[in-house]
Amino acid sequence: MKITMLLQLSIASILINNLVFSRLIGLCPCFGKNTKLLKSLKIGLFVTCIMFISSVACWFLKSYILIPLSIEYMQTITFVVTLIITYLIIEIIVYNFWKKTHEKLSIYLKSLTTNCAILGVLLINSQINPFTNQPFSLLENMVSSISNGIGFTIALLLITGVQKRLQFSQIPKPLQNIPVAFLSAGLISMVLLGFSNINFSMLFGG
Amino acid sequence: MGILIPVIFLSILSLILGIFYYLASKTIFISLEENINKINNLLPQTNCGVCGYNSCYLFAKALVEGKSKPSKCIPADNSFIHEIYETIKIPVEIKEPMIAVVHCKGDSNNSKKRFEYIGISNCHAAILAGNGFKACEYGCLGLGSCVSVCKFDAIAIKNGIAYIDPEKCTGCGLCVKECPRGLISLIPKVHKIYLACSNHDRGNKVKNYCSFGCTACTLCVKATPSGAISMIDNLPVLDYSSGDNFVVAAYSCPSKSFNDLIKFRPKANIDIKCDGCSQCISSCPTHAIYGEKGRRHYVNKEKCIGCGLCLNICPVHAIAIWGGLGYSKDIRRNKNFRY
Amino acid sequence: MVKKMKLNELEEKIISKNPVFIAGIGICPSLALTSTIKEAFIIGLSVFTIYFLSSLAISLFKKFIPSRVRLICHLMIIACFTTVFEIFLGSNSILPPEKLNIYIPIIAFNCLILQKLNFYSTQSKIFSFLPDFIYTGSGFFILLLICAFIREFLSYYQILGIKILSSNQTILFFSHPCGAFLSAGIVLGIINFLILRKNKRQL
Repeated sequence: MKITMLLQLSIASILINNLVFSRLIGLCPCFGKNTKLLKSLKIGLFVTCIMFISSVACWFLKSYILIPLSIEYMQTITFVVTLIITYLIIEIIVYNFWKKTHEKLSIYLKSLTTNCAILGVLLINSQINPFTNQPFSLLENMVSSISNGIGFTIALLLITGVQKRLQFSQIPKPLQNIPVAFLSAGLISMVLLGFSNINFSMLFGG
Repeated sequence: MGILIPVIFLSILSLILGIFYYLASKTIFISLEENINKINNLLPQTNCGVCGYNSCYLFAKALVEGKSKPSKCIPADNSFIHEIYETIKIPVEIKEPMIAVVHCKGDSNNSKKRFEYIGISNCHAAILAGNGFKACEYGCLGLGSCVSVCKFDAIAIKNGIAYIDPEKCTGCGLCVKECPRGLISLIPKVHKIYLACSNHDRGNKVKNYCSFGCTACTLCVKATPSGAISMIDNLPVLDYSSGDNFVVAAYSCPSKSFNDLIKFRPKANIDIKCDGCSQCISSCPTHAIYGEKGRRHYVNKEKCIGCGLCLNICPVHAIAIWGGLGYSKDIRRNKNFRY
Repeated sequence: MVKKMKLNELEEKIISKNPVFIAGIGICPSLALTSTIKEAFIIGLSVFTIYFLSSLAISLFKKFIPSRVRLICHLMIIACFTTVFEIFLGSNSILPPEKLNIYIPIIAFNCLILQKLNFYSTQSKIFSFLPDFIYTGSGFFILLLICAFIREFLSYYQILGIKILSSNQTILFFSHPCGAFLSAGIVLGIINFLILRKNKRQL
């Protein structure tokens, strides 16, 4: 059934093949000195929106321009350019209609322009769907990008929470800042390893 | 022929990107950006938020648009304000530089603890556990929540209490808000003497828990004839806007509760012209001059604090201050004053 | 004496003053391919080569790129080189396609390369990027190889496919992505400790 396949796809993107903890893409904003949960939530939701918009645009570009002209190898450059155009369109729209939020948004935009996570999602969606062994359709594309975004948000919130607790601990000097962030992320990803052999037929019944 | 298609495709894509970038730059990169970047380069890029904006770039932008004043950036020094005036011609306000000081001197050697605290090393958390582990309930706990807030690395924990380096402090005031006991306040940078105790109890009770505690003996009030110190709620309050330098008051305190940021005070020196009238001995607040009546007197350099009272009194002008601070007006006019 | 000083300077440039070892910039997506030494070699070499080619291209075209569109031009140039690499590695089928098609194009957004390109485009001479590139690039390569060595040895007891200890009880979770995090954390921690000890000794 199509809905069960979409649910399988979304659970796989959030738990099994998490962008940060299983595929190791998009770690850069996670390891800054960020201890505010609300800020991480805002970054995560913003990244999810951009993932959604740009992956839909890239699906259209790929199926109607790249494949008929048989230049699939140009997909990297196309995706990069589409991503930049998406950012520029969002900046123009926000600046013209909501000037107050534009000030706060511009700081996020400047730091998130070269975020690996969004490019990673675009590339994942241009592969073959592991549940149907066919290229992603438009609906599957949308579901996959939103669930990857949710997985990224959850990962960012977890890491921010851990950093918040680590603020007041006495960490030995060689391990401060970066090594302890890597080690704590490693322990979280070990926990998520337990989801790797989910039996989908038991969850969704056929 | 096969290479033509990707080339055309890439050119069209770049053209579209260029058009969008041009549209975006028209609405976002306004022509004042050069001025904003120029001013942004003058600011200390610490993004401390004291001016009211999230980042130094936003503050520079607000300055150019006329929405803020340059005096709001407290960490930048006065030369920066002049450079802003050169760039965008907005009026200049000179503010008095201030530094932050911690009003507590009870370190681990001199003050007593009530119990041993093993827990989260944060001052706010330590206060929740029985109002702090120190015997003095007004004192600095030295767990460092002010250290983590300071963006200029000016605060350090020495011997269990916080100490602010006056060279690195810019007077931004973030630590003032952070201290849970309100021990930090801003004083003008030119004044080097401040009270290092915040204890509101009086008498021998204070001596039980800290050897540097203020017992409200009012000797400092009596030592300042100009009335610049007043006793409020068992603590002396220094009025920094009066012209006084508080040197005599600081060194007349029996429990040494004042802190002096100058390590090497100038010293008085008695010349051979001295005729032994002993008027200087009675005026010296620290009893640093010794000698027999009728013979040349000498100054004990360990006890002398360079206050200049003996210099004003000496009838034969036999006393000179060596070392350079020059507080009293008469010292500056005195020929014997050596820099 | 001179040889010891030169060795000291070399070690400093590659390890102590390298942003890869101090702040862990740029290793994030490539760390996923360090489960065996062979794969780490491939991805390390590809990042090294793409870094070299894009620095070369940008140093040659510095004067023609206006400063406002600098970031976009850098991104497009690196994307072109990653496309070339993707086709080259795909035709030789060295990496399986599900890893190849994701991790090689992501080198386009590698923080280390973008920061260094920004820095090189402000230098005045054409080939002034070479010494800095050699030290930073080799440091990155060495870090990936060390992580891969730890992971492969602890999870399969083998190096480059050759089994060293014949036992089946291995620490298997090092071959999963969590092992990448843990080994990177351990290696960066050890190197931090060595740098701090050296600084203390010099004081």
